[in-house]
Amino acid sequence: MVRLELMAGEQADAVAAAARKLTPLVEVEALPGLVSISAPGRLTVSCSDVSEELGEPWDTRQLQVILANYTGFITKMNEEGVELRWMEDQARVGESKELGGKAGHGAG
Amino acid sequence: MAQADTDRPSVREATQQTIQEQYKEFTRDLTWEPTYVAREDMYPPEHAEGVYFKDWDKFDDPFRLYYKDYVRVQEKKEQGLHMVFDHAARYDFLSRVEETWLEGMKLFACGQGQTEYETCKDHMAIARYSPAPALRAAALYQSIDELRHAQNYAHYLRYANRKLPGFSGWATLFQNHWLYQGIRDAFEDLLTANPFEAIIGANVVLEIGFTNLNFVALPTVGAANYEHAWAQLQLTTQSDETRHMAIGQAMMRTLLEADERNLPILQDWLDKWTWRLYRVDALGGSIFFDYFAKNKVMSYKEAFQKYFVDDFIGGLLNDLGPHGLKEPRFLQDMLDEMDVTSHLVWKYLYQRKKMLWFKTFQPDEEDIVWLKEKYPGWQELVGDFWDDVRAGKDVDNLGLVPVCHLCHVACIFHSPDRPTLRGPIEYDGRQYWFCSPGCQWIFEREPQKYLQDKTIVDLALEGKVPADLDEFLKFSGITDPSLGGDLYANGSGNGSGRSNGSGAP
Repeated sequence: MVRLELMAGEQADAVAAAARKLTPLVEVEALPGLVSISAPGRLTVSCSDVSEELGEPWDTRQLQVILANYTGFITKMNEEGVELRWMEDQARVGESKELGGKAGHGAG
Repeated sequence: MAQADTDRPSVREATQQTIQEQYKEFTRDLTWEPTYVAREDMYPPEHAEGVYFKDWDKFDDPFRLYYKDYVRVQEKKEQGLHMVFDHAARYDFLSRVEETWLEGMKLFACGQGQTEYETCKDHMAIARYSPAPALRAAALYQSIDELRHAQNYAHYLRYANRKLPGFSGWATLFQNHWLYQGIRDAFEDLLTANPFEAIIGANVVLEIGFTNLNFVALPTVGAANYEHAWAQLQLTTQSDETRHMAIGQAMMRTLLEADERNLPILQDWLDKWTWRLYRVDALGGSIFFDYFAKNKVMSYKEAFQKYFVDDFIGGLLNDLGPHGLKEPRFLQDMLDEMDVTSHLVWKYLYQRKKMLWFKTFQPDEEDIVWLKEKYPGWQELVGDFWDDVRAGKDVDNLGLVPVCHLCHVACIFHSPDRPTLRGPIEYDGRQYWFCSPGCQWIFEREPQKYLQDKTIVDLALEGKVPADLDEFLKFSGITDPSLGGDLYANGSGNGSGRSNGSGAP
């Protein structure tokens, strides 16, 4: 599993919603003060999806403010968004959605 | 607060550069070849020793952070945190915190700041001397992070100290109090380690393995006990740790991919630091989950399994197992201790409650039901002890106990197949005892380092620490003995019934 744990609030909810768009198997769990967003193998969040949810511009600098914890390896953190995965899953990357990409099946 | 930075355009917006381009410009491109000093004078070779790696430019920071963005992100974090503190002070949130948890805060808050400051010093050296440009930049931010944490814990002490006793005098307590010797020693070990060993110890083992327990799991327990200001402090601290974790992961991966000779070196450091830091976490962290929390969320055993074993060890092996990395050498010993750890610590502290600056207490009926459910061997382990307490027996024990020569923690931990004391081994005609196979192994790897280290018992026997109990308490930083004792017993902790003259633990 890869996971983002965010300080609970409007932004965390928007990130969770954005994560669902690119990673169908995402699981969202509410803990006291935290929102945990996890998925098997790979988790991607697009900044433009989060911006759309929030109705205003949002980028990964704002993610850093609320990012309490993560599990996985950060393979992308740029203006497009953030991507977490474990390296063993690299072989499967071709099958799942890239940030900004179109086709594919969810990882795992 | 999802506001965009519309007031000030970022460099990115102003220049249309990508994050990658800006990162390169503001970190790598600030590196130059020295002309009027030799490169070895600028970056002393000992700061690049200990691992096999040639092309330091290959190392990268996954967050691609550069200074201007760093400041903007951190400014927002600070605004968020201090808003919570202002709010908590204005509406007197402290008065609503569960009283048991508040006693724990005295232990946690008085110790936390100094550990952050030690890590700050560690990273200042890496920021100045490391051969890798990306690491120098990341270590600079990390040293500022750690300073921010240290100052925020000082701020928390100030916030709490305005209302309650037990939150002052942290510098003396951390330096001299017997309960802090283990954690102080572990951080001094880190500070005097090879710089790459320090990154594995701090950024991998501490910040991925143990901060998850103390800065993610524990704030949820703190929040359940109504300490929201502290919970937010832990989360904002941890939000910086995520960057440090990424550096640690990237460092391990880069070294393993670069040269297979790095594998045994990294495995060795992983083995050492997982045990070293586990021991102080078992002493300091376990009792928050199982005892200080009136409203219990998860047991230490459960939190350890989820955050340390499944997330940290599982993740690390998932990621780096293909490179040959194996689970830490003493993981099984940790798991074997899980059923007894917090209970032995709590009993140990309750027996020494007159030597503390926070109060301990007996678990009530509701606590005991929970403890027995989470730890089926609880009754057998400490049930009689608490029955004696309830029957009014004097269970205090202020005498000397053996202290481990490696971790400086009292030798109180045992598991089904392992006694509390291990040794002795001899060096220069002197005997050394340990609390565990892990500590003995670490000692024997580097005896020259640890032979120089004296425990508080050594110092007491040499007469360098007062033997008289009142003097010993003053030395330890206990200015008001009534701060210790039993939370629920009237008149306890006032110094009555001290059993013997020896002050050391």
